[in-house]
Amino acid sequence: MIREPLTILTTLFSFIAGLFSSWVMLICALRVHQFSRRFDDLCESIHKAADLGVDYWLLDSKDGMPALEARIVGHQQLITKSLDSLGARLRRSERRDWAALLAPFIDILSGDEFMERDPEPNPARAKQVQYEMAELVAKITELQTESLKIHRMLRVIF
Amino acid sequence: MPMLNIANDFSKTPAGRSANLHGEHSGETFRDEKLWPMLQQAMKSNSKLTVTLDGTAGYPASFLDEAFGGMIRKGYCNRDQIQEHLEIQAVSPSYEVYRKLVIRYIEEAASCQ
Repeated sequence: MIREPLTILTTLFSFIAGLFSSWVMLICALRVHQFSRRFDDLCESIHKAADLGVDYWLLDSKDGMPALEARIVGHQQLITKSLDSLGARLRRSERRDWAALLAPFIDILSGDEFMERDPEPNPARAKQVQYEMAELVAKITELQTESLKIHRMLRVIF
Repeated sequence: MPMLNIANDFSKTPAGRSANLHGEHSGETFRDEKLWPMLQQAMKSNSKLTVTLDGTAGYPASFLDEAFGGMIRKGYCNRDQIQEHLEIQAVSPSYEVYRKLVIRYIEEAASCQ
């Protein structure tokens, strides 16, 4: 008679503990997924901006230039804001000088004759855009790998 | 201390380099009608002009090069004067990249002198 309530209590406690652990694990998984997704979205935006840049620097007529110019500047803003929000989620030691990383890409994308170029295609410039994109994405991917190590996941959760 | 906010005092949508193509939103117009006159005033009064980059819908790098690097290329002033009388401010971290580019373009223009 005495053991019955104890068994019930133990079972209830185990059930609650199991539920709590599952809830914590689920939250962890969601946070890590969200964090990883931010990196993926950022890299996708950089790829997209680089593709627009290649289209722009290879364009052989004035038609379509203003639309591409507007979209490139818009993507630049998207990238800087995404980097900003991502940087705020990282440990201090993981924070890089984002602006210094990004500056060469922005310079090659929208510097020099941007908005004033001749309709003569510039394949060398288009290649440089791709090169700077690759450098930037490689650095961001390296950071992503470092940040997703298990001992750093706790920082993402709390 | 004199202040110049590009978004409020010039344009929220800065465009390319030359005034004949981009009119009132160009880097040339900004340099000649806003930046250089205010920098001259700052130099005369021995003060520092603060230019705030925040608030615009981004910057084409060509605008920044024409506006800031262009002051040196056109012979309006030199790097030392800019360093002494001009401060570039990016309040939000998302504009920090443009501040870095301004510094880079000033350095590049000075190294070509």
